[in-house]
Amino acid sequence: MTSDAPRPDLSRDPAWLLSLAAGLVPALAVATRVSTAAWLSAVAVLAAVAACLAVLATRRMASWVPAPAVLLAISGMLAGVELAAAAWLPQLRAGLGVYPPVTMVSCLLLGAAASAAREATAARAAGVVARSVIGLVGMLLAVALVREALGAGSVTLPTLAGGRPIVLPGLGKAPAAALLAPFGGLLVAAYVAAAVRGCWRATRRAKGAGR
Amino acid sequence: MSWVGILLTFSLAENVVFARLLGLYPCADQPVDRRRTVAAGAALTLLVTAGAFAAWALRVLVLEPLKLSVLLAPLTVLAIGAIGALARACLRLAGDGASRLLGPAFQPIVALAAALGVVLAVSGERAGVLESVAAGLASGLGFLLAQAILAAVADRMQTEDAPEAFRGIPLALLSAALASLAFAGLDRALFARLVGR
Repeated sequence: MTSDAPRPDLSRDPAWLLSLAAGLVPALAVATRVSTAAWLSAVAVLAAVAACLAVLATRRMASWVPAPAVLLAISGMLAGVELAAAAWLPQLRAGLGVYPPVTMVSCLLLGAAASAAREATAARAAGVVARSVIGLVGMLLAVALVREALGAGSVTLPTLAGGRPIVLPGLGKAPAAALLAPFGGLLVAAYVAAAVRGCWRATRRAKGAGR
Repeated sequence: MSWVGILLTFSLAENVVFARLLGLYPCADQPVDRRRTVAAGAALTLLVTAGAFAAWALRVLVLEPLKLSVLLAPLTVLAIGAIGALARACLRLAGDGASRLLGPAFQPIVALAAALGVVLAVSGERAGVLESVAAGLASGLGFLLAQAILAAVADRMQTEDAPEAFRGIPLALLSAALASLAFAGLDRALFARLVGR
């Protein structure tokens, strides 16, 4: 499974973070608040670590072993998360619906990134996954922040009780509520990805001019 | 829900790509291959239909009697993964042609996540076995429709002159956002009023 996964090329397209996050796009459907994005990010990090460890533990074994191993690791982790959420965060679990399991499975992509470094050392593979996780979490939080600020006029900080909203003066009076719909997530993600790419290219140009 | 209602709801109103944002792989900078797009849609349709049946069997025959419904998601992951592995093994047996056509087109992880989302959503409706399978089939058809729309848009975009920062993935996301906006008009309540529940 992991061998067929996309292997983004940072030098070709700096928006590779989003490409790696192709499976994380589903999270945009429900990441309408910063607190929700933070919880989904935590789930993504757990899944990425589990997938990375499973790939690293099985990469010296026969070639058919890593895919089921990653699947088993994710399923085990998912069972733990579902049981914990049902016990301690039932409202959040009900609100997020099918998306935490989908996000966890999507983060197999990060395990795929580790398997891309199959011939490299464990530290290098862990580095690949860590960079990917930071990128994905950053992108998800940035998109959620923009959507909530413009779409609801507030920023909700994550708490165990479900979140503490901070109303932004001026923005709360006439929010662009359409940004909270699924297409709003895609729209904001597109602009954030373009901004990341623009900044990345500008930085490269400045570095090139400095040499 | 009537059969027509299930078909319209799960293929259009609750479209797997545009309403649930599942199975979207934003790579507009890659060349469009219509045969592989159709093959990917067909593969996901099969996966979701078989997954919906497996999830129904797990829920009704195993988890609900044991009062362990909370474990539906992890067990569905394993079931869909096993179905996908079985499908790939069958493809290899079927020959190089089928494997070449369906294999690369079928992004396994993205498809697995999409199938899982659809199967869990269908399970959430607590429908019977035939309704679950029909909803899975309709979701797969909706995926096929969405992929065809996105492939056609990507095809047209290759000849357009977009700003440099938007080329590639951002443009693909923008296209998907606009298509999703169009599908947002196809409301579940609208279909319920048109064809009844």
